[in-house]
Amino acid sequence: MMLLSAPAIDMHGALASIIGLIAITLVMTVGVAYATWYERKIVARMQLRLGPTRTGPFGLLQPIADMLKLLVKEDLRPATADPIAFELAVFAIFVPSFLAFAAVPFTADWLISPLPLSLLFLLAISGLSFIGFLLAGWGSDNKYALLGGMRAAAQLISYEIPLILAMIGVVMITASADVYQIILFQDRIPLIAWQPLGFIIFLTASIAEVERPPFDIPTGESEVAGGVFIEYSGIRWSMFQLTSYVNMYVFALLGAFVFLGGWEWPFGTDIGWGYQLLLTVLKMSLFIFFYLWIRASFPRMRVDQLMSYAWKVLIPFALLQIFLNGLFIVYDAPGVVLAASSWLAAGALMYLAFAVVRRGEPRKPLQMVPVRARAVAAARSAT
Amino acid sequence: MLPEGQEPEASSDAGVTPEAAAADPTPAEKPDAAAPIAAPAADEAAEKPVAKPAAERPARPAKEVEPKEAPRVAPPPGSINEVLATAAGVTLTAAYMVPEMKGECVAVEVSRDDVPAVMTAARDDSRLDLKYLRCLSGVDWQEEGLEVVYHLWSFTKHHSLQVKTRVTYDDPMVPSIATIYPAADWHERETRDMFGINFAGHWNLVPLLLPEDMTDHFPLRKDNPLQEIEEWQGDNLRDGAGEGDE
Amino acid sequence: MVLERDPALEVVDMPINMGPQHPSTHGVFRMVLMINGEKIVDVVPHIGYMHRGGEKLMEAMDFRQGIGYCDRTEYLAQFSAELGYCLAVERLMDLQVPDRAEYIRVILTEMNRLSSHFMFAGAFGIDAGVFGTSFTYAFPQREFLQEVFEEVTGDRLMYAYFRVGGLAWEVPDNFVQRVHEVLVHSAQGLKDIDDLLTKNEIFMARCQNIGNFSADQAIAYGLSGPMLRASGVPWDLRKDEPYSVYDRFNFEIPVGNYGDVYDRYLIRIEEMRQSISIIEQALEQLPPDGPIVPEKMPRRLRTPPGEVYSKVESPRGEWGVYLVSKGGDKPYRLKMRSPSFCNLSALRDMTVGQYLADAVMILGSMDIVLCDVDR
Repeated sequence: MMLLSAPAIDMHGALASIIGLIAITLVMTVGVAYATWYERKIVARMQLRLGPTRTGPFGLLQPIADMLKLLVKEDLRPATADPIAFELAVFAIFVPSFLAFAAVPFTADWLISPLPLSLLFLLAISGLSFIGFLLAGWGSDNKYALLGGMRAAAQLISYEIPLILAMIGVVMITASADVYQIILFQDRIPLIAWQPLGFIIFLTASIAEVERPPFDIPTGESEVAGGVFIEYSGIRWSMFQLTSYVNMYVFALLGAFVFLGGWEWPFGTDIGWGYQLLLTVLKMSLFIFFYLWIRASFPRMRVDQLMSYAWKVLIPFALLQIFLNGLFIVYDAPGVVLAASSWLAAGALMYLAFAVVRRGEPRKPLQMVPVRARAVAAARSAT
Repeated sequence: MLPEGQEPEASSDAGVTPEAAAADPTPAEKPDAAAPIAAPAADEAAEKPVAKPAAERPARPAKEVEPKEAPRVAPPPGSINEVLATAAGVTLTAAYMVPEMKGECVAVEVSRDDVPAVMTAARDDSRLDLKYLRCLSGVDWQEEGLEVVYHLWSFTKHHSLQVKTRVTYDDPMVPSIATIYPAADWHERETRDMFGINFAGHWNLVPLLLPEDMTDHFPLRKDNPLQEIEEWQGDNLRDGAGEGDE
Repeated sequence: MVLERDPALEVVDMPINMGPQHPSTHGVFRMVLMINGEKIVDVVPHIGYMHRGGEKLMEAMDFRQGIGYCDRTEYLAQFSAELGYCLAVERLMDLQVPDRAEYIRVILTEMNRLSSHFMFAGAFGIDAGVFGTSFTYAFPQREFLQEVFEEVTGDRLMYAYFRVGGLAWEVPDNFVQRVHEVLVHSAQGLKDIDDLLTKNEIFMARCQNIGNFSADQAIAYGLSGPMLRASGVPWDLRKDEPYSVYDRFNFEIPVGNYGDVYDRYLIRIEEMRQSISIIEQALEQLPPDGPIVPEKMPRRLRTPPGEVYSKVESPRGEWGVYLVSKGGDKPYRLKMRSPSFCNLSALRDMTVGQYLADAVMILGSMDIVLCDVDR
């Protein structure tokens, strides 16, 4: 109740929230469009290409051109699609992801709606998108879309759990579920130093939540040919794409705030809001760069591997992190112990991730059957 | 491609054609009197004075005779055709050597009813051990019927074998060997598409390469000529034209 | 493989149509998958979308024109296809190809193997879900190789450079130097792809233990090339029935232990290393000059009546040409035994029981050329 009642008490605040939300939607739309430019340039660099160069300096107008193209494309709906589910799905994905920005403190003063449980709000609202995926998958009347929708639902729900468990560890340390308070907590040391295991779990689960490679199986191009997006075109398709980038922004911001200290670390609260914004964007970009880097270099996981990784590896380790934090709190141990134990567990997680993949005995190398030249001497003498 | 041991006979065959017997007096200018339209070439050569001294012209073979088919050679005694006949318990219609990339291999002809027995024996008999079906092709011999050729190979014994069987146009049926050699599955379907040979016992003999409804027309049979195409090369080309040295 | 089902629940298998226009079918190939959840219950491959009646067309072409059609059939390993065809005609005509021509043929064929395997590595990475990085690593190298092919043959794709008896024309003067340059690029590109994919944990998890085929199965299904060798059959035509001058080189045949998709990938990567080695040896032994067609080359290509089955080791496996001649300058019957066709026929037995995503990987590991399948 506190969550809902807090911003709605005074009309002035509500109005300001609405205006802020509209502003942030517009700004983020452009920002997300430029995320595609950033992605294309970075990935092109990794792939020995140039990326967009023709439209404007450094191809900077490419997102505008893309947007225009997508807006004027024909909007098709299959004749057999369920009209309500098909149309509703776009908004069921689009609205929650933009709503998340309501609780994101970009700087110390720039926050649309101060919620006392903003971390919970962020996690809850970003977890809503799977309904949209299911709707889109079912409503498109396409088997690939259905497969994609089912995969998306299974994946989002599964990875929600380690994500939230990792966040619970953070909440235990900071004793607050408000992102603002969590940022303020990290004025000297970012939480990544205390909770490396939680950070790794968060990072992995967030890639799965935003459906980026290697966890992009709901939209896997080479398997389900776009998954839930397969029947969407034009503006609806671009809304889907926009949403996936917005989700990436949200999780990058969340990671920057919760684990990297947001605008607080390392310079404290007293620097100007411009510097704070710069710091936020910089840390967010680090995350986005990481997502792109992973995308350009990793193959996609298979659906059973994805599930077993979430349930057999990530969730037990997230529980381990919570257990360690509990010990730390109950016995009032020095922080170094917590950090050390978490680092150790993070190392174990990394090792296990490899070990699970390479289960079974090590593979024998290829046998090399030599072929000896029979007539080299004759050939040499002939020449 | 003459097999060993056949050289004298083959060379005695060469040059039997009457054109070759009448030795051409001017081989450099009239290289091929046997060509169907040799007369215009001769006229042209007559009209045009000799452009170059004859000594400078590249020496050409006096005669390009149509190469003759080498007579069929029976496999040497002890070859795998004898093993095959005993192992399968069938009589082979014929056995002879056919050229391979290097050397030769045994080809046997069997009647179509013996194909499964022969193939099973070829696969399972330890002296043959022909486990690998390389290729299965149909050949349309027009009046002599349709032929199915199986190319077999043994990884252990390093020998190969061709099995051939003939069927008539009226009853184009050969027992399927897809259960003996799974590799034959698609080859048989393809051969059915192209030649209309029905492989009895095949589990799924539906068109593979051709459209699903194209079951009455067999493109690779010789009674389906290609559309009238203009022949740019070969027999219809006046000899020597377009070579630039005339 | 039969999947267990709970009799209390009515589970209906869902047919899903993959292709003919699907990003991972490598051309116009269609397979109808029957899936139970994510597991594949049945596969029905449909081919023939690219069928152009090539064998019939080649019956109407004389022996020189047919070479061009080989390129159009096997458009990723054109030189192998041309070589197989030329060898068949040469065997029937009993022509002796000069040494220099043989060496140039081997060099070009092996370079073609490199370019074909680069194509495989790039496309296979995409099948596995790498966002195009493997492709962009592989394609510049393929481009360098194609530049050399263009300099030699004048064409980027349809080379038609081999002739019955030898070669169409002499290679450019700087051929040897250019090949050396390109080999440096190829080795680098090979290392890049190796670093990107081979030891990648996810890639290994995706590739290992799917699509397994035992040696007996592989032989029974008539697989050839890397598919057969991955199953543990040490068989390579270059080793076992050496054609051209392959018996003059030292190289190694990689053979797999497990017969799965990962082995097929590893074998292709290793084959590229061996190809580089073969090309280097061939450049060393290449006669500096000499004829590229036989001394006694007949002016018209006429074969005696007869038949021959010639075969070469193309990047995909055994590319066979069964040539039946009734005399004259055209084949009476020409059957192209394409490795893609034979390998693809095993698709059903490899994929049933695997996951949907594995079907893509298995198909990718076959490295099919759809023109070659349909002919």
